[in-house]
Amino acid sequence: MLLPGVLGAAGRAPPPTRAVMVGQARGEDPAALLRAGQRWLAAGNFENAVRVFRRLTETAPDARAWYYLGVALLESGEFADAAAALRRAASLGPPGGNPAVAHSLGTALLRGGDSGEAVRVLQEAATRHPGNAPILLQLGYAHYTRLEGEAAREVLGRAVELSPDDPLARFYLGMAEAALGELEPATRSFREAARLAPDLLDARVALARTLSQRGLEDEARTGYAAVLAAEPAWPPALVGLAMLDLQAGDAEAAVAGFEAALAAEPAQRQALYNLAAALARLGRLEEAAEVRERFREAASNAPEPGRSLARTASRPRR
Amino acid sequence: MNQIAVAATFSVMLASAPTASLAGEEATLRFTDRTEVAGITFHHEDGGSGRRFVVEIVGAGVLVLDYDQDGWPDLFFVNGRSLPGDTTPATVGNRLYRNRGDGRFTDRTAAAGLLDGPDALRYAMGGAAGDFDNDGDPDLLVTHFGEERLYWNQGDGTFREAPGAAGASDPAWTTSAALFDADGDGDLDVYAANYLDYALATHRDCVSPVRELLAYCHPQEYPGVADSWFENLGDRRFRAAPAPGSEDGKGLGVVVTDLLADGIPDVHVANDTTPNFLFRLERGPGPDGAAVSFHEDGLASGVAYNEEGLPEAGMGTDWGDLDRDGRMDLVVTNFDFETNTVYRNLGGGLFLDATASFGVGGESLTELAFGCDLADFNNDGWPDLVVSNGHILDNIAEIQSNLRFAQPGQFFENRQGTLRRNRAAEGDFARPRVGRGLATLDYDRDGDLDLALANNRGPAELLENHGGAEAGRSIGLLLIGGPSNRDGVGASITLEAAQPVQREERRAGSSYLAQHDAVVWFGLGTRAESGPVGIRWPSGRMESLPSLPAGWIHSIREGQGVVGRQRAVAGGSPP
Repeated sequence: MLLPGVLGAAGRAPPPTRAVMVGQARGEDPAALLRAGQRWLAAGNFENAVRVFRRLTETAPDARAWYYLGVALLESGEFADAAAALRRAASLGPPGGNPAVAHSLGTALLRGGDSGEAVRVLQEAATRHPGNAPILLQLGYAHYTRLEGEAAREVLGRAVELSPDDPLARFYLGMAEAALGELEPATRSFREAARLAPDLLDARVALARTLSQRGLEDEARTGYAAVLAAEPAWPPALVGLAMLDLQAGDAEAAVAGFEAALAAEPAQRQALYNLAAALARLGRLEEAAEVRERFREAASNAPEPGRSLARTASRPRR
Repeated sequence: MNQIAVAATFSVMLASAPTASLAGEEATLRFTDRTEVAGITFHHEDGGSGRRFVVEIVGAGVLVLDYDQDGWPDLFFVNGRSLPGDTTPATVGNRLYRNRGDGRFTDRTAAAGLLDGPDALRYAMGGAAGDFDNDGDPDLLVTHFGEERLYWNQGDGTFREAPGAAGASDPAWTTSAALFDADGDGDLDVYAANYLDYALATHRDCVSPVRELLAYCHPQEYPGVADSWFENLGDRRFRAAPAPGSEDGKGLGVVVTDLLADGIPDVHVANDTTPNFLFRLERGPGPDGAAVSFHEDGLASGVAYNEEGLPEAGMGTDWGDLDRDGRMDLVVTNFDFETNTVYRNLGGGLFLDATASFGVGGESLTELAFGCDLADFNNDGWPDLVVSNGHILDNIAEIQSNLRFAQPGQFFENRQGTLRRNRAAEGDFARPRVGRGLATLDYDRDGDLDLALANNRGPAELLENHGGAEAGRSIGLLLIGGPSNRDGVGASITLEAAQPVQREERRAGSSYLAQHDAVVWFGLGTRAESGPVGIRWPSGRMESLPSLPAGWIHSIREGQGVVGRQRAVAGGSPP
């Protein structure tokens, strides 16, 4: 996930004209190229943004040009190239480092799969800029993806202190707390995230699920139902509610819920697995067998390597 | 606002139980270290030299058996040996400790004929003890990284090794084993869980993502290998065959129970990173002439995956009627950042991952769990859960700063169908160790269950349950089968007067590289007697016994009722 704030003020300008986009060669006005690239970024045309910013790095290869090229590459999903560009930006930037560059570099590394290096870069940036909440948020998220729950909780706690009205900081703090088995604090964090951003459905689903895990099934049901009222086909809420039904012995309702989730997301693994179980409970054995085959196919297409970073990330030495 | 693409790996980390507050816990028991006073000095040797052969991290095992039939359970600790590059000369091998009945044990390995010379040592894993030849004393099967070894109990305090393990062997890397009468012919067969198709010659170095640290390889680097079943031919010979349907498994734990109450055992195998197995057995000659057919039903029954439809890193496993609805529930211990998963038995052969509602998840997330037992440690009539933990990476702290190689054991108290961690009761069990095998026994015959722990590259431990007997009364049942297998493995026992009814089984397998005491344990709470006891023997015989007094281990011979007893009560005296 690319957290807010990366693009700065670039997002409000209209797309550039064709003439600017295909501007001829060296000697172009760097300011015009910068504006054009920013417009393409804002318009979501990252391919063109990359082209324009590449020309900018040829015309005026300063930190700003490399930064924007890095951001455009990041948005294009070219994480390794993004990281390289952002490192160039960092090397050309001020001695103390630019927090926006560090933030984007950390994001590129994280999304490129090098979470260890992302933590190192973001940790260094957080040390230099201890009052920068976005950096802390991204660092906390990086710890979180590395299953470093305690570190994630500590860093995200600082992000929340600095930016108490940021729903994402609350949300990820809740996830870190939940990962550590601290469900009551997690409930509070998710509840606050949902209050700050009612349309952040992930926070509301996480809240419902945490309530369910705490045995507060009625509250969990209410939570899921509220999510579905806002977004009737939201698979995580459909599955969560159906799981409650299945645990409560209402296999009919569970079947309906899992089927609704699968209508929105046909290969949803949890829904397939538990739909088969619910059908079996109802004695609909042939249908259960058919769903199990679909589950097998989904499982084979998306093998789950396990959750432990230490184990799953180990690999044969080259 | 766009929704957040939450990493799938974290959705499961919404855990179940709130962290227990020590101040709010009531300790009715406490596990207290008695290793030193008991005279147990076993130390597991992993044989490592820094190359990190995968086999190094799997042991050690521990078996409980009364090898000399004196009524006091003895201990057999299973050891590794030197591996290439290990320059440590001393290798002690497996060790047999005889229980003297006074709280102390004596090393009788050599006297019992179980001491290997340096040239005879092999890399052992775990095993099982049982009366294979129905002659009245437990024999010993030791599983290995390679061929098994079988030792016949001579009945005079000594063992004699059977050449070629009398056929109860395969060349694969065998971990846990369960002894049970698969084919119903009155003797004990063996289900042997096999792990990886791995050999030292095919070892490859693996590195962690952090600073390229050398680390033990993920099991995905090696293919699985079929489990084995060794059919007891009844004449001190076995016939080995692969367990059909187990080809892709990476088995570490195995436990057997009769799920459908049809008198035919069912086998559960905890697989590491691959779906768990549940084999339903069918008796009668199969197409290949085998006496029993295996039908793998893990996915359809609901025990192959967790509730998210994901395979976990199964290590240990056990059955137990956690909610006392008369049906055996299932626990599987798993890797860190996976829960220990508890499956509720819904009846009809169906299970549902009910980890959250049983209350186990949250507390188990950061531990890497191996040995386990569902047993009643506080004698209140409800089976509790003990888990021995320890990571597989000795350098895990350098990879994930919040994790440690040595980890505390955990005790989850059953509060009428819900498990809650009771830290106050853990006592010395809470000390960090690289836990692996865990076996339960009442070694001091004081009326409660104690723990024997086999730890990887560390000393074994004996933890006394201090207070369990004071918290509630108990009885033990020592079954003597005939025509059923002499150990009575597979017998189902019901205390019919209890509300709800208490059900136990003379189980086979369970835990990890371990075997519990042969005595079947019942906590009675404040009741002074058991009430009527119903036994369904593996032969099919149904037997009803009158109420049995608490404070004793009752020996029950099939068809003859109580034929002996041994005092087992706090402050009790030897028989």
